[in-house]
Amino acid sequence: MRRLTQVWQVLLLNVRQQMRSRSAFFFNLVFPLLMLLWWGWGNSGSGVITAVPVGLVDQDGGDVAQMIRAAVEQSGHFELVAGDEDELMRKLDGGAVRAVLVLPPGLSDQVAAGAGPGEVVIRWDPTSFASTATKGGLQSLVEALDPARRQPLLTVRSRPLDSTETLGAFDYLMPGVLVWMLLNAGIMAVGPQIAYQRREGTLRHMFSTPLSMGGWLAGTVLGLQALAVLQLLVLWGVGAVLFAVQLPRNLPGTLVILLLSSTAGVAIGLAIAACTRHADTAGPISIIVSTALSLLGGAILPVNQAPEPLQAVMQVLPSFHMTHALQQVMMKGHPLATVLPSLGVLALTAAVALGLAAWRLRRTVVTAV
Amino acid sequence: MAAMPAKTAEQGGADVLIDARGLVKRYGSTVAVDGFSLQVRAGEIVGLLGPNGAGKTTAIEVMEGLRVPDASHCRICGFDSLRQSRAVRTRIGIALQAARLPEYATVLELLRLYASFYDNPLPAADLLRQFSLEEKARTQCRHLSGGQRQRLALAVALIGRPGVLFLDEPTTGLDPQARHALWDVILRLREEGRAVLLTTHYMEEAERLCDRVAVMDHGRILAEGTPRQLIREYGPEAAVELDPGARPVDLAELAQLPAVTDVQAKDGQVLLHTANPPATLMALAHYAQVRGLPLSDLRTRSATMDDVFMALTGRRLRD
Repeated sequence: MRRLTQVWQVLLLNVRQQMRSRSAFFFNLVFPLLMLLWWGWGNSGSGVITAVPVGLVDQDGGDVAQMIRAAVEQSGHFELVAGDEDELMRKLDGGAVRAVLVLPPGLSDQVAAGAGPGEVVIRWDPTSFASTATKGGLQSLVEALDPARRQPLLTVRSRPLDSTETLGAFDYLMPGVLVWMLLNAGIMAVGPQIAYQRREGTLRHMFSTPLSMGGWLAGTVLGLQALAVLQLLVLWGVGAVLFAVQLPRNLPGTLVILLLSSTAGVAIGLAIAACTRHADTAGPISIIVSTALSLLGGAILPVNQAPEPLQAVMQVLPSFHMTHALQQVMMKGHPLATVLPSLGVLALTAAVALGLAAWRLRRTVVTAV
Repeated sequence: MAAMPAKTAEQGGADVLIDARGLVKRYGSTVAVDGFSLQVRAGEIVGLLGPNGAGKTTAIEVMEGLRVPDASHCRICGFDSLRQSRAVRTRIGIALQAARLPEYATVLELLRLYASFYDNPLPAADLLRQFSLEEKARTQCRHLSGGQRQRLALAVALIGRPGVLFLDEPTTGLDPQARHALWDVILRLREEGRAVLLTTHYMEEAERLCDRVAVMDHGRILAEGTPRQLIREYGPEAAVELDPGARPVDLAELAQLPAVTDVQAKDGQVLLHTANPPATLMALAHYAQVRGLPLSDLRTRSATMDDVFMALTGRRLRD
């Protein structure tokens, strides 16, 4: 009985502690509730896109081509966009269509003559999850066009975008891994650590000397970027040795993106450390922000597969622009000019977050009001 | 030990290096510092005493330029502590008792870090030698003892050759041996002509180190002077301490004993302030015999800074 009373009292103590601590109350109850409302709201919109845009290059024009076109349209899953191959490949590269179905000349004649299965080509973008999924769906549909399944009517040859043809499986993981790593290095390392230094008076003591805010910010950002560079070297080294990962197609451009991404990540971490009222909440907030940015950056959950309201949110996140810029420049070798809007978002994120951190630290640490 | 910076003493005209007048700091309706004024000269150690919440830390942070006051006139080495903050920060050294130095830096790394903040810092090797930290140069701060940490904090405070030092409870948590060693270091700072403002909870420390003491409560300085002056002015002539054990005592009756000027009870102890200890002791012995009081642990002593503090604030120094 006494032990039960002890257990009960300890239980009450913990429940009271959790309910009376505003931060614990928020993270235990309010935050899950907000997440629930968020996803509920997100899924009550128009939902997942059902008609996926697919390019069609019909160089045959015969009965078999008509049959394929009809089957694809009647499936209800795809919306065909007809055009020539060059134009559609540009659209595939830009994400306007998720795959391109190429029906070669003489396809119908070959099938009608019984000279073996005809070959159709599916072009796809392996840097895009959405394109990869579309390729699989199209392939299944075309290969199932022989209803009796006596012998294959058609065979499918899938061919990635020219700029990605030599990439290996691990290369496709790199943008997502890099974004996750840079965000973690920036937000998770900086947020709780600087918040702790703020609470313990370490920062205040440092700023009681002639040390300037600019000097401290620069040292902090550069130090963490040096660590990020080290991490990148290790990551690429292991990837090259074990998984035949290639060097970026556009190495200088990739370095610029990584530098900006790292700065943005560190800046977000600093802003969290400077703005949280209590140091204890900086850790959970950093985890939430870092995880949310990683999950919603488009590398794990493809933007096109997310509910529409969420897509709008994802497309303004810095993690989305990190992923997008790395896919275009690192994997496809495009020039930096093609991702200027993404670079702008990253630079703006870094500037706003660093400005916010400096402003808050000045008011609370350097010369408190 | 390092020499004073050449410019320090000349700033501000005379040798007053800390000149605070009428500091006021409010938080909403709470007045943390209420018209605080204090001057500290070169070669002087001044102690700021006050219970927790008296406003000591806030007043010091305003003087250091780390907190914006609602009203003040404060000059450090002749520079306005708020408007000429950078000039002030190059001339002061701060050892914050509450502030943790970066835990994972070694002693030498930390000295080099802080040295990098100043134009003409003291060589780290000199400070290591002066503060007996040479053997700990490559030890991370988190592995240092309390005394070593305090010595390191002082070394860091001195690295920029400051003319003014703010020491926040510099010996709290140290064993007597380490405390006395640190006292010697602080006394040397006075010999070097620096102005030192320190806070402490130890009466003995205030009496031993400070040329002057300012007692502070509710954001104001209640009294200021040398420890001896304050004891003479505010302390009782002497005090009798007794432990009545578990027996209840009537404080009003004790107050009627001969020569007793005040009676206080705290933590099971009774303290009688008296102008004539022998007369009070004789009457107390009779009183105890009549009421069967055990009177264990009976002591007489001279007045101390703690008594002064009690008389001025109604609280013990360590409350």
